Amino acid sequence: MKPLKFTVSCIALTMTCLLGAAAMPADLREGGAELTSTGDFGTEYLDRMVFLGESTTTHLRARGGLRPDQVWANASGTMKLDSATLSRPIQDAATGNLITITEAAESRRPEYLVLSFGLNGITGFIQNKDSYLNNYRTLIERIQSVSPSTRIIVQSVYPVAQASCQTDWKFSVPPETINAYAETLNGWLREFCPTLPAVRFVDTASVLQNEEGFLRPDFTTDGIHLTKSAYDEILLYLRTHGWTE
Amino acid sequence: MKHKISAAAILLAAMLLPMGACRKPTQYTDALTAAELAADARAALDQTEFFPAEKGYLNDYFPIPEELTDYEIDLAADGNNLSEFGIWHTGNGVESISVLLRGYLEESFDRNRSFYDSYIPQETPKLRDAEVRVYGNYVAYAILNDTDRKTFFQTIENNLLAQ
Repeated sequence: MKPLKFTVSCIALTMTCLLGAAAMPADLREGGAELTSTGDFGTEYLDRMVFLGESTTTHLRARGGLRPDQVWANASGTMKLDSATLSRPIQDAATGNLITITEAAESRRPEYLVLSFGLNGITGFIQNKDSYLNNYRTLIERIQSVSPSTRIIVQSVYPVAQASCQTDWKFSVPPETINAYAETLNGWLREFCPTLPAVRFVDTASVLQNEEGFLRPDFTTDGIHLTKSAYDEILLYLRTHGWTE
Repeated sequence: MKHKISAAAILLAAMLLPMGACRKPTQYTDALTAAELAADARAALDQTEFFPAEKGYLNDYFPIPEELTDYEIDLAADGNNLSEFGIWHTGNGVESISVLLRGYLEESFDRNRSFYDSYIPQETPKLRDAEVRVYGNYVAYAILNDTDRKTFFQTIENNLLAQ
């Protein structure tokens, strides 16, 4: 595709994403199946959570102050949500053995499982909403089939920092476009979560953004990955947007 | 005279040469299951620990026909390793499965290349150079390094010829 045509296409897609997000019904933005502001549920609430997601989730082990067994990850420390996700083994923090996500859910039966997928593969997801949401649905339904009492918390897709903060940019479109894509995915997730039982959406990405919607420069090491202070804010947001029935 | 003999010899050779190409097609057994072949492949590729993939593993690429039950896909257990192979045992569907698998490999490379390059760039060539081969009623694909790919296909073929 010629550069000018590609640029126009990106701009058009970005505008469509922004207008689509603004048109969302108010109740889905402000409530519904979204975890809204509560009092501080404290660290005891966080202690009952397990996290599964991309590299920005895996880094909770080193920078979030969580126990190793609270963060499920494979040896690479990153994942992409697709039809292979349930097949690829993760490492059991307790034994070091390789197990599937299904096996981990069945043996650990976490009270809360906090999921975060969307940035890895985002340029593909934005073109195939059904595939993204179907893979999320398959993952959630599998977990709940082996651990029916687990409550699933789906995090919003995290933003990326502006171009001047990027040290190793790998996406084919600029940061502002990625952030527009993330906003679109977050709109999809807001509509998606109420369709499943015991699933809630939480907008943790909101505490990471500056006024222009970029990841705050002081929250990132390389424009994408997060600092300890960013994780402090994410975990505080989870504590203060607790799951109430 | 010498030239006539030489010409006759050449003519005879030219007539006989195509007949050498009309060999009997290689006879592969139909008696082994995909699981049996996969077990031997894993044993041959013993430097890597493999995990069997779930049924929906390829759903992002193509739905596996319901009647096709004799297949196995194995992936490297290590999240930093892209090694993967698959074996299908099918009667009439060999060609269509091999087309679908070639499509899967191409599309997977296109879709996932930048993601894999971002953290395991040394592994991406396995997907770039992935291969599909047909052995009678069996189709096998390999996302492996050059040495392992050779070992894998040799193991499959040896097993299917040996029966």
